[in-house]
Amino acid sequence: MKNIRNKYLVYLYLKVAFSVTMFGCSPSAEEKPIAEDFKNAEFNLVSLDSLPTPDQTFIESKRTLKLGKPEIVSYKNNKVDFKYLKNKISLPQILIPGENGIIEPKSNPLIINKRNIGRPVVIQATEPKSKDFNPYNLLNYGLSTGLIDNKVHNTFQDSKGNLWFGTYKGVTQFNGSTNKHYTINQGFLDDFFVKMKEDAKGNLWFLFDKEIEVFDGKSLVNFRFQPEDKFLDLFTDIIIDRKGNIWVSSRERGVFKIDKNLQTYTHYGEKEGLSDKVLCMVEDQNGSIWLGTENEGLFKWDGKIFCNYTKGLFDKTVFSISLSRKNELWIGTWTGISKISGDFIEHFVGLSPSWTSSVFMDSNENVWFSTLSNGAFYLNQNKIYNIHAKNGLPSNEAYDVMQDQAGYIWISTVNGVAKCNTMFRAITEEDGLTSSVVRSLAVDKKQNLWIGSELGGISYFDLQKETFSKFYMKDGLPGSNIVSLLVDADQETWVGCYIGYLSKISADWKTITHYPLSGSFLVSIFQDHLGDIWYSSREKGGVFRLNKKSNQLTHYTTKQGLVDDQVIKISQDADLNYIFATFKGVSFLSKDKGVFTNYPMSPNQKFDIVESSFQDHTGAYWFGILTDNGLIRLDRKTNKIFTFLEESGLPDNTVMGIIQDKNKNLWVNTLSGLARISRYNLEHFNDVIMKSQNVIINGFTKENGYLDNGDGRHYIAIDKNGFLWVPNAKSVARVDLSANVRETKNMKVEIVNVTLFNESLEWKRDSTYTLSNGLRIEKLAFSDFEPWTGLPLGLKLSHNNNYLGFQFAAINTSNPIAVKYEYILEGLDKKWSTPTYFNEVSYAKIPPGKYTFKVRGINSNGVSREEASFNFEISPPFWQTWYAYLAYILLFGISLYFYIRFRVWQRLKKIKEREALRTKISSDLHDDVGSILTGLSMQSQMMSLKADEKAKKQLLELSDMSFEAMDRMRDTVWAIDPSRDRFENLVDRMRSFAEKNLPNKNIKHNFVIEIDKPKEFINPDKRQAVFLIFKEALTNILKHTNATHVDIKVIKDKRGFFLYIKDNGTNKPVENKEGQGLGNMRLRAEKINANLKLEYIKGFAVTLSFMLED
Amino acid sequence: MKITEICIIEDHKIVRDNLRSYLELHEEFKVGLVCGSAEEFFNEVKHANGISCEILLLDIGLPKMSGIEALPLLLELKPELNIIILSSYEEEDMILKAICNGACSYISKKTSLKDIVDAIRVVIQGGSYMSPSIAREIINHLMGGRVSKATILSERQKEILEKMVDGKTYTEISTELFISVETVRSHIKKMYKVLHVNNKSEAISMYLKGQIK
Repeated sequence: MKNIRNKYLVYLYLKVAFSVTMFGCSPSAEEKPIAEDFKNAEFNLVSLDSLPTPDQTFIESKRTLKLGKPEIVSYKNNKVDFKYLKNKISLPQILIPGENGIIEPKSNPLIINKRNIGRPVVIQATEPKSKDFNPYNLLNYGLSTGLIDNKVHNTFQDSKGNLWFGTYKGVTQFNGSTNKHYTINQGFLDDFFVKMKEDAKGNLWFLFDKEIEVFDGKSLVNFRFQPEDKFLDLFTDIIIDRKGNIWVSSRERGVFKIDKNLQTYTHYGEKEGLSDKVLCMVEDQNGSIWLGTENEGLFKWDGKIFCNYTKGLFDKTVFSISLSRKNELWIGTWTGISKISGDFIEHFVGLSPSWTSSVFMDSNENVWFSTLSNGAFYLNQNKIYNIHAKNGLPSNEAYDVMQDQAGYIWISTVNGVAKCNTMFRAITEEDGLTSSVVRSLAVDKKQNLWIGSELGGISYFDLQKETFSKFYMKDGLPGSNIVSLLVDADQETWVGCYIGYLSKISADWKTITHYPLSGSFLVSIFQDHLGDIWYSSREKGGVFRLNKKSNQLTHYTTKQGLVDDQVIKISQDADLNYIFATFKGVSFLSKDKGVFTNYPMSPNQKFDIVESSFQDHTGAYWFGILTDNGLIRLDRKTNKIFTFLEESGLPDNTVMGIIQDKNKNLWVNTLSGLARISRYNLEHFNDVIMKSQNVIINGFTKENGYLDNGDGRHYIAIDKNGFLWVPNAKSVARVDLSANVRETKNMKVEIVNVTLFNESLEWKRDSTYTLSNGLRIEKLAFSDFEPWTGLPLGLKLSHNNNYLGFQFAAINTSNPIAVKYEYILEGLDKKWSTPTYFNEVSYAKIPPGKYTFKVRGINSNGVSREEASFNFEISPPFWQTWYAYLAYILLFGISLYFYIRFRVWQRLKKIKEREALRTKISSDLHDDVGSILTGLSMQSQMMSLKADEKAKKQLLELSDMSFEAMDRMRDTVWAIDPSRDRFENLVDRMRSFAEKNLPNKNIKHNFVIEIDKPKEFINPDKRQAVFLIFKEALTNILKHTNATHVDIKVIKDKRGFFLYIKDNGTNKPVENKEGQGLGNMRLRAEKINANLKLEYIKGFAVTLSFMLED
Repeated sequence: MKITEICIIEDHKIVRDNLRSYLELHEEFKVGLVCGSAEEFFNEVKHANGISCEILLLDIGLPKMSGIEALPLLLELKPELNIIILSSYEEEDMILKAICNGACSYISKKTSLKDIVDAIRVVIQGGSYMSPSIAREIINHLMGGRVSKATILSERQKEILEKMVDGKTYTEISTELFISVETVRSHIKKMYKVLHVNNKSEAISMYLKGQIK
């Protein structure tokens, strides 16, 4: 019974475990395949042999005229005159503290006050403004764009990239997208901002007129010097030296050095050897501090002595000071700047009637300085250029000039801050062009520029002399709308007009030759390797080839195989194939002029007004499409085309001129700005695309200082000096490719706001919020506030407050509009999102769990490694908590336990019922049949009393038979009695039978028992069969042998059950008279799958064996 | 001649009738109440205000209350009553239950009528009669049973036990019997199980007390 119960339990357990396992498993999601952006190019070949030969004529009718003398104007370029002086530096006066009446500087405790800071006022940034005449492409920021005030007298950039504009009304933090205002309303003790610095820990040191405040993102610490009652300091400058000490200068009390422990300070004033009137400071490469003073010259403190420099200075008042990368000291003085380098001091003065508020050297080695009456200046190669109110600056009253991490120059003025990208200069009619609308360009052998304008003629820009020579129709030009230009190998300048015919200016500028029958609307002129001049006439259609020597003119049109007659650009590739960019496709004409390979316009290749064509150094072809179809790259080796559009980073889908610079970067002129594709991307194009990475396109638009709209069709030029010349709608842009203006690679992104159900919250601990939609936010918990953003740290929300939104912004003051974002909610999303311009995302119905929201930005340098993250947790409802699950498991376990117990009880009950039935049957048999047989026997005995001898004998036999029947019945009852189901019961019965019967025939017996676990159950059928075989065997011995001894052995072990019976009777087999006994034995053995061996070896031997059930 | 009144409780009519008829053939016996169940007997006795017979032939397999269950109630009514069990049950547990409950004799129904009368006479004379097979069951019970109270060892086990009694070590035993030490251990383990002992000392003690066959 116990065995059955155990087996059943195991079965049930396995069944349940299997079910749970299968229920819990779920299949994994499939991954999406990478999209293919490459398309097969469609083309067809046309043999010119199969088509009519091109028309050939000779240009006979041409006129050669005297070229008029051009008007020559100087290109001022905002250069200014200045006075240059150079002196040797005289020896300084040495002042040693502790000697000659100079006292030793003392260390004193600081007065420190810490307090919380309020949330800043956040104003969304709007587009900056610019003036009409703006050759420096300045973008102006002020009140109108969100700053706290227009009067900005210091600009600072922290390590994350935020710009801080300090005004007298407080400070604005600008990240490119938003402005955050910090004033006394937020807890500052002063609004009169002077300067600021950032220490190594990222704390910001604000220097106000009378206060020093340190902001760590959460709280403000105010530092004051003793004595408080004499608190009259007017602070002028702040620096942090390499050791971490903070130096603060004042107008009347010298300098205070706050020790890096932020507990004490050391004072240096006149008594200590310094001046009390310190205006500016800088640390040099040796760790010495240079201090500029009012009227007392320059001091140097090396930690032990002061050196005072006065002789040789242009002026003893030093307003500003900085150190260049070359270890030159630049100081701002009255009317200009001075440079101290080695033993000499050079002065660049006479520039401004007022003092120089700041000076520094930028990354391109231009020295910038701001003045209080004449705007800003920069010194480059001993020339000084002036940026002032009339050429774009908001005001001439400039307080500060600095360079940010990307290389932009910021000029702070009384009327706002100007941002300048030194890459770009716009040259307009005011500078000397015949017209600001530039249509064509060409660079001659001298690297000077020919500029064709609309309604303006031609400007010849001599870059060395910095002069413009202007040619008009009056000088002999056939038209005023110059749409094409070429300077050929003979330095003759070919001119194509919109209305007007082809003409050629001689190399010596003495004559101009007209070709009246050339056709008009000449959009492209090109000289091939043979010296032939090719041009396209949109009026006549097709292209013409002019042999300069023979004047033979050959005309190619669609009749000869051109894909279209409206040809916009003619060029040749490295293999000297001719390329014709047309209105309806591109034609390649083989070098031998035998075959056209045409790539026509089609839905798959949008060669719809191909404005320009260019072959890069890898052999790929680039085509600019005018009709909003972007930039197309054609690889003729693999016959694949790839299209770039605005989504790829192109500033505009209308593409014009394309060119490659000397560093093999590709430049593309578009309607809304310039684009640059790096050499790396050109050389690894296929790899980059096949890895589904983005080909980085650096865009230059008005956001980063390229203010004009592209024009000039396919024209774009590069001179030997490395300047890119780009025709625009209102100027020709000169792009300084060497200018180090580049977005940072590690652009930081900030999560600026976290919303719940699309509503912003003012995060407070232990608060309950009611949203506008009526929803109550309860059980909200967080440990602290994140510094700088004020967002909650370790936010925990209840399960039903699971609709979160994230707003983020890149810290990018260069080109914030071009920033894309990628984000991921770890714990929910499987991968990063595709790049998007949207700077917010929402997640609804977030399941319980712990999450981290991450976001990163993509700028022109690619994906930034800097990620912003926000951790939060959605608490599960109580029915999903661990203790609930534990309760479920317990409940399940208990249920399973009771279920199993119930099933076991049921099974046992059935077994017991069966056993009870067997017991009842055996009992009933025993009682009823036994009693009947007893009655029969008694009846026979009673009847025998009165019967005669014969009848009596029969009746007594009947009585004996009844008894025998009772014995048989008892055997049967025993066989089905469930209480006799053990091996010991079988052995007992066998033994009992042997003991009862063998002695009656004087047969001795030996009964050996080797039973392993006698109380084990034996199958009832087997039990009965074994006993009956045993009984039959002994009966045979009793009845049919002359044995005197019987050996009986019963063995039960792990091998099985063995019964061995051997008598010592005669050797002859003696059959049972009835003949049924041995047969029955065999049948019974067979029925229970037992082996039965009957042998006659000096007696009757019976061997019965079978395997035991598990 | 003393006449002994005998009552019969037997549920089968033919047995009841034959018993009564045979006993009535003997002048020394007077057959009193003959009932088919214990309940009927108690009912009759109640009306008769007591049991008048000296000997009661009681069957075990009766409807409702069995003979075993009726035994103490009968003796409560008449403690000196001599109850002879007449049953076809010859199992040791049934026999012991009957005797423990107060039966003075136990006769198998396989016994002839003549032997039943002899048995009654033995009881009248103050003796106790058991059918031979019944007596054997009782003897076996007193001797500790057969296999289930096993003290029967195999020949090899007996050999090993004898050597243990002689104080031999396992190694010595294995050497003398030409078997491995592991085999010796295995036999000893089985032997302990058979004997229901935990250690050598208990096994040796049983042997010395002659409890081992």
